[in-house]
Amino acid sequence: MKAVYILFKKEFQLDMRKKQLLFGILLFVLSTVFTCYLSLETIEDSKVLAALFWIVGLFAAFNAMQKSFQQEQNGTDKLLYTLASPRQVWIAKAAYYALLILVLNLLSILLFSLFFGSDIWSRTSMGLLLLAVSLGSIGLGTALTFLSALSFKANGSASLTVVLGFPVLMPFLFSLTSVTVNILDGASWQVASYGMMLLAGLFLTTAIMSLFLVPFFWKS
Amino acid sequence: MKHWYKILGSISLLYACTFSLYQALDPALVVADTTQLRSGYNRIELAGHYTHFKDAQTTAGIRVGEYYFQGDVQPSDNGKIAITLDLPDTLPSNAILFKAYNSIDGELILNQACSIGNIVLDTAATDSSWVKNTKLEKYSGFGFPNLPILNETIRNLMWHVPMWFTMFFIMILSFSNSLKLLNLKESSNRLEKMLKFDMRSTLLNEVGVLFCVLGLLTGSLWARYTWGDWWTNDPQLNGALVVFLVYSGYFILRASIDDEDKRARISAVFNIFAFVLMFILLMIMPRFAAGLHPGKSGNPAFSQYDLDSTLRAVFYPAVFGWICLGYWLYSVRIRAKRIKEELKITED
Repeated sequence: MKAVYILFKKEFQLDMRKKQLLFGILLFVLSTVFTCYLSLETIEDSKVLAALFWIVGLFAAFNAMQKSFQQEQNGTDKLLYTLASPRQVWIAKAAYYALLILVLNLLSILLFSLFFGSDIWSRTSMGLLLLAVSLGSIGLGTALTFLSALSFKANGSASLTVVLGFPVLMPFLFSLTSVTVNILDGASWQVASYGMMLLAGLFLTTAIMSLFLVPFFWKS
Repeated sequence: MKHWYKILGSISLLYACTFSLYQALDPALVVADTTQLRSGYNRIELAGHYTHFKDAQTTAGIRVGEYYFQGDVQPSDNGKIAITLDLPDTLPSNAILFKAYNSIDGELILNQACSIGNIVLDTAATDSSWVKNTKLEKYSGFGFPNLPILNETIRNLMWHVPMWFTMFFIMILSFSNSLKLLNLKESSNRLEKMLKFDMRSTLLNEVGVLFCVLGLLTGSLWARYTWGDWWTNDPQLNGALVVFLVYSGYFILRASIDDEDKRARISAVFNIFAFVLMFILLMIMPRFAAGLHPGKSGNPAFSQYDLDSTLRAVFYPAVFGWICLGYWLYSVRIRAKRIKEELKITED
């Protein structure tokens, strides 16, 4: 547990030291939401908002993952072998990137509500929306950390993560878009709970699968 | 007798293909040419499929609620019959069913939307001359069910559904090979064994993806004639396409690794992940969303009530035959691969 905490802190400190990477992603979120605003001005259809929100969220997540394992390329991964077990490394990374993606998505909710007025949000229960976005972000972060570990071990490039990521993230996106549309249309907890359960189930499945599979390829 | 499954599979596949294409459907009414009835004189033309209007003495009419109004019939051929019908000014119900009966086809009922036009609806209306509807015996011969919308496309059941059964069977084999690969103990011939399992699961995945594509194609064709479009927004369809993409990702992942040992291990890990994902996409996700596939909202597959005994008699052999064919394809692939490798060794 201590090792996980130290590795988690290491990720955070590295990002604080190399701020340009983090700011690059923040700028990406800001500029995409602003571009949406420039061409749309207002959004009446909750489906459009959900689609745009998750497109921004998905690509922000991919952008954030670019540096997850690739920053270990210059031999630091060998150092990690000696310091912690593969599971610990994976948990620390997954926790950090799930949190990072969550922060990015919360920021994009903030930006969307800033630019696109309050009409579309009037029926929305914010608590439910935040819960869905949190579950989704954590799920996306877990799955993407596993995939980027896999593609880092495969050939060290980040482009493979994207190729593998799109189909693997589809179940998340299916349920996320439908839950988000429901919540934006003012669904109650009763209606949204099915989607939430599915999201939580997907997250748990990915997490358990990853914990089971990571030791098999981490030390090669 | 290691070829038993090839012989049995071929026989059942031949049986299933022949029967699924040549066996006639049950007789049924397909369409009526009217959407509105009037009081007084009506002329309705009913079209039938596999019916014998001319060969047998046919009676026909409409069923309104619990009453049956029989008309004068005039069969133009075995598939078409015209009814002339005199209707009263008030009727007790607006639930209209078209009905025909003869000794060969049994009772035929068509449920087609039909309004009662200028006829007054009065639930208390009754008349001493009206006849109560009686249930007559249905067609009892051996034929596929002739269902509305599905009609002749019901034959696709023996082609489309076994593709997915076969894909699941093949993918389970591939999954178990990957599990065996990851559980190998340290030994002198570990790498050799590893490559063996790796080759097996890769070739199995190739065959599985082939069946996935065939399933998508036959499904798309079926969707065109029943749901009206080549592709519809149905969780099962989208899930199947994503399964195809995930397994394509498997081959891309393999192609990007040069080291044999590493490739075997990493693609086995991804294969296990892909299998679990396939299970989620095809078996669990459809339960959470509304869709068009039969037995929806709760059960993603056919329920026991959807298959009748005629369909079962052809469907189960078809599933068995396609699974045998899938495994046969894989065994041919693996032999070809081995021969290729031996040739390479002798050339070197």
